[in-house]
This record gives sequence, C-alpha cells and structure tokens, in this order.
Amino acid sequence: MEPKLEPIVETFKSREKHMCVKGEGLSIPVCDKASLPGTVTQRTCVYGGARIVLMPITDSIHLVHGPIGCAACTWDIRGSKSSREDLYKKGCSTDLGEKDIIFGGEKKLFETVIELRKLYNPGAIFVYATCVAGVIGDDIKAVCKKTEEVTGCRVIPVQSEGFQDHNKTKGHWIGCDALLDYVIGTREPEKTTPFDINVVGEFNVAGDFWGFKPLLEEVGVNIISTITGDSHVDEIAQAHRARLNIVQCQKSSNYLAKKMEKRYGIPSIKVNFFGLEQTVNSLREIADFFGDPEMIERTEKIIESGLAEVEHKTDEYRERLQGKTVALYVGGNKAWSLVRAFEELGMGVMMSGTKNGIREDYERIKEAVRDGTIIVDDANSTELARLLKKYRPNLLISGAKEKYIALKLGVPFCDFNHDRISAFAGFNGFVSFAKEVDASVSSPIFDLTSTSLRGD
Amino acid sequence: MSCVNLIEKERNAIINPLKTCQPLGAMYAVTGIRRAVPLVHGSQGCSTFVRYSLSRHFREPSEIAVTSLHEDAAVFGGRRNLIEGLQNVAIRLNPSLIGVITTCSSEIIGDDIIGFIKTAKKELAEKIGEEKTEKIKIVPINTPSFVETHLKGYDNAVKALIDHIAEPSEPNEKINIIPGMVNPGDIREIKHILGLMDIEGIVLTDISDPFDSPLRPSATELKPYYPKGGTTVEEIVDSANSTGTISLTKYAGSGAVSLEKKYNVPVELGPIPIGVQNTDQFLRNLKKLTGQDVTDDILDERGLLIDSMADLSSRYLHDRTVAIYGDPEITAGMARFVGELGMVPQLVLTGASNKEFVPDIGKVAKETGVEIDTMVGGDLRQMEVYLKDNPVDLLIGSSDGRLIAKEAEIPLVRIGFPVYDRVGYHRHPIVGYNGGIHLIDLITNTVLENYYEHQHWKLQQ
Amino acid sequence: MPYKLFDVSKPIPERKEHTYVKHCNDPEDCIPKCNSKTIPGSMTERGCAFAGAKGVITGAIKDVAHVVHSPIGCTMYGYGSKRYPTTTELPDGSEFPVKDFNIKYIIGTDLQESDVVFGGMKKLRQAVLETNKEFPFVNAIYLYATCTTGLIGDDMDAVAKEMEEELGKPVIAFNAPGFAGSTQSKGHQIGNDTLFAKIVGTTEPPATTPYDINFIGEYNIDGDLWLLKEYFNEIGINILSTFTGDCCHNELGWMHRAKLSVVRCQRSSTYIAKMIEEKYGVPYIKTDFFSTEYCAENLRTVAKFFGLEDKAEEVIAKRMAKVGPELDFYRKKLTGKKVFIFSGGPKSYHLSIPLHNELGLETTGVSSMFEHEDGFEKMKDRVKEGALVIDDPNTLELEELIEDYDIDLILGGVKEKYLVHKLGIPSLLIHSYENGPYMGFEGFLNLARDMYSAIYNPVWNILEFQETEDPDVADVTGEVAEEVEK
Repeated sequence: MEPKLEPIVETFKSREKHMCVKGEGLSIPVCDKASLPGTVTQRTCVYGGARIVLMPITDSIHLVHGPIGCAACTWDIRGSKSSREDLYKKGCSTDLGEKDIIFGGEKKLFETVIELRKLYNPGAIFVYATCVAGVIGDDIKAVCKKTEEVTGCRVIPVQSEGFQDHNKTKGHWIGCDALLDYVIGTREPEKTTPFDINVVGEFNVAGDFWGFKPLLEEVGVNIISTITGDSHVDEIAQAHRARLNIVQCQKSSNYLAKKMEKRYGIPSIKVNFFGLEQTVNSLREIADFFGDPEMIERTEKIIESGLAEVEHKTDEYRERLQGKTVALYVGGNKAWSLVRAFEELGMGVMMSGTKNGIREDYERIKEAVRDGTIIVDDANSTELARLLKKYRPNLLISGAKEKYIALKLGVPFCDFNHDRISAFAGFNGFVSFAKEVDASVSSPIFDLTSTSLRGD
Repeated sequence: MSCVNLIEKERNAIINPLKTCQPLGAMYAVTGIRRAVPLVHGSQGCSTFVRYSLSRHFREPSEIAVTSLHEDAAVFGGRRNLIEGLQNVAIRLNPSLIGVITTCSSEIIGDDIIGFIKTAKKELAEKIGEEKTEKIKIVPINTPSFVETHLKGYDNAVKALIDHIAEPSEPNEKINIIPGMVNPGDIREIKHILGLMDIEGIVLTDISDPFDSPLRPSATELKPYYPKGGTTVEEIVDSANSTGTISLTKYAGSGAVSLEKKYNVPVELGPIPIGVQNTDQFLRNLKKLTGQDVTDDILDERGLLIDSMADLSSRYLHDRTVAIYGDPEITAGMARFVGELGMVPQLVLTGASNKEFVPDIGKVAKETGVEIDTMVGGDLRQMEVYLKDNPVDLLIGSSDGRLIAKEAEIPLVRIGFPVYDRVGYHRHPIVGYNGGIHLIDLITNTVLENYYEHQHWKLQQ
Repeated sequence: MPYKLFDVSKPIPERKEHTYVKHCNDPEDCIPKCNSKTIPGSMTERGCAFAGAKGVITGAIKDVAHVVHSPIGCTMYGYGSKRYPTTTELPDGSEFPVKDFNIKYIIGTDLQESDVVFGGMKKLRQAVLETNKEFPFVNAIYLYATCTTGLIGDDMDAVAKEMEEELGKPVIAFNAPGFAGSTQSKGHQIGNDTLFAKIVGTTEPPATTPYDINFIGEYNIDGDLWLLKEYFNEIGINILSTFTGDCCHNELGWMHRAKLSVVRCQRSSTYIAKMIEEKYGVPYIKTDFFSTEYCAENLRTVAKFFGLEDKAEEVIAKRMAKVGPELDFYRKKLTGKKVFIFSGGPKSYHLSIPLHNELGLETTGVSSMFEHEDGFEKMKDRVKEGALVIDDPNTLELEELIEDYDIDLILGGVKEKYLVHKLGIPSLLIHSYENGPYMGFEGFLNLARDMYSAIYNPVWNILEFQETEDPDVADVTGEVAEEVEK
C-alpha cells in the first residue's frame, strides 16, 4: 500500500481528503460536500433521489412537473420489477414551456393531474417538483390538495426541486417524507398479526425482493408492505401497523425507519440479504426479534435447507475468483452491504466508495472493510480512471456511467445498479451473483487485450 | 474435461445434407474471374440447381452454361456436346475464360475432356481465327460429384486455374489470397486489411463484385451482361510471381501448394480469420510473408472489436451454449470465436469428412476448457436428434437449420452458405476484426431478442 | 417470315425455328420448335428430369420419405426448394405426425467413388431400411434414380420390390435420371407413369360421394390448393384426391373412384388423367384457375358436370364482391404496361388473356422452358399480332429482348430475376410466387398487387446508368458473329 502521506491518486488539493485508506488516521474521507464545479461528477440531483425511492410503487402515476427533460431522462430507468401493475413505467410530465415559466405552471399541472386520473385511475399520483417548478414558485401542494378533492384520488406532492442540495440523499429523505406525510397511517389493515413487518428500502431491482420474500414468509412474518419495491400505495398506507421494520437499503431508507419509530413506535433492524452469511444473520435477527421459539426453530431449518441447496453450487466460481480483488463504487448501501458477499467468494474488496455518502455511510463502510482498503467519496471520472489504472482491481462494481471507463482500461465490470440483470438477494441469488461476477472476471476477452502484433 | 467428444452418425444414409457436391464449388470459383463463364459438362440440373442455389443466397444473377447431356450422350459420350458447347459459349459470350466443369455423369462416361477441348479450339480457330481463339483461356476442371464435397470442387477449380494459367516472370511484391468459399463481404474485408497494411493482393478468385454488383444498367447497350470486378486472367497469370500465398482455408490450399512447388511462392494455410486470435494469426502471416508491419489503423479496428467484447460478452453471452454447423473451416473458426466470447461451443458439426477438422476443434476445447461434442461427416438430422436431449441456447449456421431451430425453439444466428430466409448476410463480413464486430452484434442481438425481451426492463441499458 | 433469329443467336442459327413472331394469318402449324434437345452451351434456363419428377410431381406428397440415390448434390438440391406447404390431415381423419414433412426432410445415399465402381444397390437398400427406422410413420418410401445411378446401372426397381416385401409398405422407384429427355418435362411424365402404374387402383377411399373429383396437377404452390378447395367445398364438390398438392400416398391409390378428373397443370399431369380415363373410364377436363374470369368459367364447367351451377354462381358472386373493387384499382394502374412471360410451361398461356382483359396489360411475348406443341399452340392463339412466342429462350436472348422491346415487367424464375434487374427492369417470381397464392379470385388479386408493386417500385425511376464504356466489356459479340456468318 502507498505510504500515508502520498495522495492516493493525483487530483486537486481540495479533493485529496475525499480519499483515505482504512487503518490510517481517521479512516473516514471528507464527504457530503458540493462537488467541485467542472469535474465530471458521477452524482445526480435531489429530484433523482426522490424519484428512485418512490418510483417502484407500481400502481401509481409518477408525474414530473417540469420541462420535458427531467421526465424523459428518468423514464422507467429503475430496473424495479412488478408482479402486478405496470403503471409506474409510464413517463409522465407536464412538459413546461416558455409560456408556463412566465405565467406559472399551476393550471397546466392541475389539468394534467385531472387528465391522468381519467386515463389511468391510478392508486395515487405523485407530483414531483423540479428545479423549474421551484424557481417559478408553483404551489404544488395547493394544486395537489385541490385535485385530490376534485378527483378523490391520492395526489401527493413531492418537494424535490433538484437544486436543493448537493447530495441526492436529501432527495431520498424527501421521498420518504412524502410517504410519511401523505401515505403511511392513512388506512387500517383488515387484520393484524403479532408478526407484522414492513420491508423498508427494498426496491425489487431485478426481482431481488422475490429472492428473499419466500424466506420471510417461511419464517412466519406477515409482510404488510414493502417500501417501495413491487408495492401498491394502499399497502404502504397501512405500514404504521407493523411491529417491526426491516431495512435493506440503509442509505435511502434508514431515515424513514427512524421517523416511523418516533411517530409510531415501530422498532427497526438493519438487514442485508446479499451474501449467504448476511442472509443467515438477517433471518436470525428477525426471528430473534420476535423471540417466538417456534419461529426461531423454523428459521434454523430454513437456513439449513437454504444453505444445503446452494452448497457446492458456487465452488467452481469460487475456485476461479479466489484472491481476485474488487472495487466498489456505488450510490451508497452496496458500498458496505456487498463486502461480505465478495469475501465469501474469496475475493477481497480493495476499494469502496460512494457518490453521495454522508458521514454515517462512511462509518458503515469503515466497519465493513479490512485495513488497507481505499475509501473514496464522490470520485469524479478522472479520479476513478486513475484509481483503476493505479490499483488495477480485477473487477469494478458500479453503474452504467462507470462501466465504459472501466472497460476501456481493461478492467472487468459488473453492473450492480438499476440495469443489473439477475436477482442477487437470498440464497439462490448468491449463486446468480457468483455466476455473474465470474462471467465478468473470468471472461477470456481480457486475455486478448494485449498482444504483440506490432514490431518484431 | 477439455476434449473432443466424437459422435458418430449411426446410419449410412444422409438425411438433410450439410454439404453438396463438387461442381458447385467450381462454379463459384470460376464466377470470381472477370468475364469468365463456367461451362458445366453434365445434365441441365447440374447447372440449374446450382444457379438456383447461388441466386437465392447472393440474390444476384448466376450465369452458368451447360452442355445439356441427354440420353444419347449418356450412351455415346458427350463429345459433341462439349465441343459445340465450348464454341457456342466462346462465340456468343466472348469470355476471357471458360472453366469446363465435369460432373458425375461426364466423369462416369469417361469423356476425354482435354482431347475435346483441343478439338473445340481447332474448330473454333477455323471460325474466328487463331488470335481470338488464343485469347479465350479454356481450363478443364475435374469435379467428380461422388468424391468429397463442394469445398473440394472449389479447391480443384482454384488449382486447375493456377496450374493452367499462372506463369513466372518478374517478382511483383503481391500476396495471393485464396479466400475459400466465403461471402462478398468477407473478401472485401480481407482487401480492406491488405489496404491498411499497404499490401497489394491477388484474390484467387474474387467473387466480391460478381456476387454483389451494383444495379447500373449500361447506357451503351452492351451484351452480354458480365458483372463488374472479379480477378482478371492477367492477375492469375501473375500469381506465380507473388511474394507469398495465404489460403484462408487449409481445406482448399492445393493451388497455393502448387504455386510453392512450381514457382517457390511461399505458402501459409489457414486458419480462416474469424475472431480475434485467428485474425491476429492472419496478420502475423501477412507480416511474415511481406515484412509489412501491422498499422495503428488495424490495431484500432482490433480495439473496437475488443471493446464490444468487453462490453457484451460477460454481460449477455457468458456461458451460453452454442451448436455450430457448416463448412469445416468456418465452423472451426466460429467455435474458436465463440470461445473467445466466453460462450460454450457445445456441439460442432460439419458435413465434410475432413480429418483435419478434429484437431482444430481439439485446440478450441483446450482453450475453452470444455468438452466439445463433435460430428464429422454429419447431417442436419443428426443435430436435430441431438438437440432433443442436449438443448443449446443458440444455433449458428446456415438457413438449412431454420426449421430445426423453429421446432426446437432455439434462436438461429445465420452465417455461411446458404442463407436464403433473411437478407443482406452475403454483404457483411464474418472475417477480420470488422467481421468479429458484425458477428458479436448479430449474436448479442439474437440473445437479447430471445432471452431478454420478455423481461424488457433489462434492455433499458 | 414468322420466325426470328435474335442477333445474339446468329452463331447458332438453329435457334431461329424456336422463336416465332405471331402473325394472325399464319397457318395453324406455325409454332416454334419445342421439346427437342437443348443446344449445348446456349445458356439455357432448363432443368433436368430428376427436377421434374421429384421437384414438381412427388415433392408435394406429405406422408412419404424421399430417398435420392445420388452423389450428395442432387439430394441437397432436392431439399426444401419448392413452396409446397402441407398439413398433417389425412383423409381417414388421422393425423400425420410431422407438419410439412415433405419440405423438412430429404434422404440421400451420398454415393462415393467406390459405389460408382462397385454399384450402389447395397447402399440404397441400407438407406431404405434406415429411413424406415428414422421415420417409421411414413406411409411409403420413394426412391429416385439420378444421372449417376442411371449410368452405373443400379436396378432401382429390384431394390424397391425387395424392400417393399421386407418392410410391408410401398417402396416405389422413379427412374428419371437427369439426362432423360430434353427438359424437366420428361421427369413429369415418368412421375405420372410410375404413380399410375404402381399406385392408382390399389386403395379404396374411406367414403365416396356423388360429387367426387380428382384435382390433378395442382401442387399447392404457396397455398393455391387451399384457396381453390374452399370454392369446391362451398359448391358442394368433394376433392377425393389431389395429384399431388398436400396429398398423401394412399389418396393417389383411389383416384379411379372419382367421378371426374379436373386437370389444372396441363403440361405436367394430363398424362395420368388420360390413363385413368382409359383404364377406369373417369372422364377428365382441362381447366384454368388463374384470374377471376378463368376461375369463374372453370368453376361453372366443373359445377355443371354435377348439376351444381347455382351454387357455383353464389361462390363466384361472393368472391367477386370481395376482390372486384381492389382489382379495379390495379387495372387502372396497370393498363398499357407491357409484360413478358417466361414460365416453365402453362402459365405462359394461362396468363396472357386475363392479364389483358382484367388488368389491361399487354403481353409483349411468352416463352416456356419445357412446353410441348399443344401448349405452344395455345400460347400462340392467346397472344396478339407481333408478340413473341419463344421456346427455351437463353440468357443472351433475354438480354436482347429487354434491349429491343419495350417491357415493363418480366414474369420469370429466380435464375432470371436478378439478371433482369441488372438490366433495369422489374421482375416477378412466377414459378413459386412472391406473395402468393396467385390462383383463384383472391390469388389473382395477390398477383395484381405484386405486379403493381414491382412496376411502381420507385427505385426504377432513380436508376443511374453506366455511361462510360469499360474496355473489358466491349460488345464484340456482333463482330464475332459476323465473322462466323462469313
């Protein structure tokens, strides 16, 4: 590893402290700062943060109040699967034009909501404020209230003006707030059980939720709602009656769990269904929480059979992956939740970083990774390229924007973001995970990248 | 594990063949010469069926003459038919060359082709004069239909053309290329690579323009129709003076070997440059024979192929199983490329019985670390039955497998000959780095359409 | 002079008698010479007898296995090349297990050098046994001789007889090697003769009605039969046997039980209708179902035989109401356009009058690869003064024709299609069709639509011509020919 005083990679002075190595000094990088203007940041905006939290609600219309771009560029990008409706996949916008900017867009918004309600009769209409809506001062709350009265349909304002903050985490919170203020607690369940839970921060990307939902059902808990993967708005409305919130994506949804605890007294535990060990731990913690001896016994059996089912299925992959290194550069949660899963494959996480991490996120990363691991915050594309070039991991886990940076440098890549292909959660998900990681790392093409065709 | 698992065909009869007889290969080769006419010495079906097959694959004219052997010829020999046929073609079409292509019937009858040609020339000289007669090269090409396959016919034709026409004079610093039975797009890609390396080539023979020619009717009303392009007779003459010969297929390298024996033109046989490593090998061969170094432009094209492989193979193609069928060279080349893509060449099948095929596949097995089920001298029925118990994710081969693919519900990526149920396949290369790019797009799009479309959200990026 | 020698054919003056220019007051026997040996090296478009037998006649039968006794080429070329779709329905109500079996499978003996030397009969026997093992459900196995087996003298009939006894199912040899006759027509005849001799009269139909016909010479190209069958069914006429579109082996055996044979393709199958009439007294009529007029007229004729005229009128009226208005549109667009028909045989006389009467097209000329005298008489009768009637036109003549005559569309085969395009003229596949079926009322509309889209393809208006002369492509044909004439 590099000596402590050397910068981890060449970059601006002010950026140097956004990178550190665990075990040296504080082990936590400077974070939650505005990106340096002019660098190619990998971050998105507050609106983007709110949108990804709410968009998996499948029976709802998600209406973006702004010029067309904000809706067009985020239309159906979530990769979140639905077992029922596909209304959430519609890209809806008020398509604000110059005239609306001058005279205000409230009327247009009003009419659009009425129209959408007529066309689709959705479970709810979420109205997202964008930068422009904020700048021209449209009163979205008032319009939502009015249209809700007229239509009888839930019309929910999401105050997610893009410029509000440098960190999309704020957007996550705003999304959560919309649920807290307008949805949760507005409906009573037909019946309750002592084992009612909400699955919070699970967005069912690539069907992840379906990978551990059967496990939870076998354990014997009753899922009132998922927030928000594969959900209907009426289910979330009953979430206040749960006895427990289990939180998968702690980055986006811990906020919600904490507020629910304050407001409704619902305790929460953090779970992680990526990797076998973490899956086992999470199931045990849930069972332990309820303390029901039968449930605990049942859970042990589930764990036993779950592990038996996948035993040896990953051997072949593990053999090839042993000793390979991986770099994580993700939105937040996966920067810590994947670490153990990779270790179970015999791989070492040599770098972990997030685009929007706040201090508590980096605390979690620090806890999860081994000494000597590089921790980075908001690395821009140049820094990322330099990191990959200098430390040459055998794999990068990141999203679509980072993919081609890695590939051009000959670093294998695996998409773990919205565009992921297979579900990775739960026991069987781990096998898919291993297979896909192996497909990237062991691909024969990286042996072909350097030859000696030139010269003698 | 990594080995070739030879699967024998447990019957003698052929059901749904994966090969045809020699004359087709010879007609293909002669068509690649500028202003040349293939003259088939046989029954009318021998030309008609081949014209039909070529036209429906290339979607181009395929002008082939036939001596129209009828019963009387079967009894008394085809002497008159060949002599008259030659004169009629020579006088009416004024070709630069006539390739006299034998068939099963003329071989069995035992016609003295060389003697007949002599007589025909003598009679022709009486009609149109010595000088004009001498200008028309007449090359006998023996292609007994009951020996080997169309590839052998191609090989025999190229060898006959070289043996009869090539003449040594001054060294020309050119490279001879024997492309094998490939598509116009492939030959254009090979010429493109030569261009980038600043090497002049003689393609023996060059069907790229004859089988993919522009629709630009002549304003000057010229008859008969000859397509543009093709190798000139002069180029074939000059092939004896080249710096070297590369046969892109070792199954049809006799002409190249002949040039080496007679005129000391060094030779490199195969492999067909399908995929990265085979194309690398082709470039090394070029470099070895000419001393020209590989240019940046070519390495950039290589980089584009590697770039798409980096992007696509692990994500969409890795570990998918494939059955490949077709001519031995193309099948072996595809198997290797498929391995480079991280896919599993589970079954390879060729209709030909060439012994060299098995070690080629053995090499691929070793590289990919998988056991490859291999059928040599097989037919499509064999594959159809095999797939019932051993399904694959993807079939790669000609249109003749389309009904099998449909029934087994396995997507088919079309390559080779013939492709008649889709258009444009003859235009696009499968050789060279550009061919690799075309193939990976083709394969990936087929995978996306068949394995991802039902989960459309996976196709958003 | 009613005969014409194309400039390109001056070196082969015998071509003159094959090329007739219609003059209305010519004597009746003035027709082109036909059905004779092909001039070697003349760039003929003709095929061989094997193609005629397997490709045309038997290839449409759905429940038999076809074993080609040949080096691999003939087998390969006999594979799935013709548009002969079949269903799985069998006349006794059962189902044949494989759809389009006739298109999907071909079997060959793949003769090698040693077989040529020592004979291929053993190999043929083995192939038959293997075929039966591979496809035990087939109801018969047909064997085809080819040039090679004809020349080496394999006794196909002996093998067939032996195998039939061993397997207990019909095994039939077709002795139509490629060199037999001068065109594929010889193969048609051999196919007819063999099927008549070996099958007709050997089976009995599951049921008969007073309205049973044999539909002969209808091969179901691109679904023709299925369209015509609808008409017959609606009229109340029962097709007892089809020769051979979408038919099964047994069906051919009970052709002698029909009340009437309706002959569609008169060139390839009048033979069997005649033989059935002679031996079993079943009368036959020659018919024509191309175009609405011919189709209506011939439905009436067949219906009249059974006293079902009223029903026929209903069917005709219903179809005309369906296709009439759209045909009017195409007539407007196609009127005055000139067409040259290069078919294998009968389409050259089936189409000339309807194309004119119903679509307003002018026929510049007609030609055929393998028609006989009777066909050429009809061709001649049905074209106008000055039209060409050509036997076996070759590629060069086709080129000269396109150059010298004002032609808007050529109806021909795939071998001609792309050459014609290179010369700047649209062409349409008439042997196996483009977007068929082309027969019957709806079919004629398909044909009209295809002709319209070919002629009006905007591409023909934006051609760039080759202005400069390529020294390599000098037109020396004339010069050489003149020398020959001297």
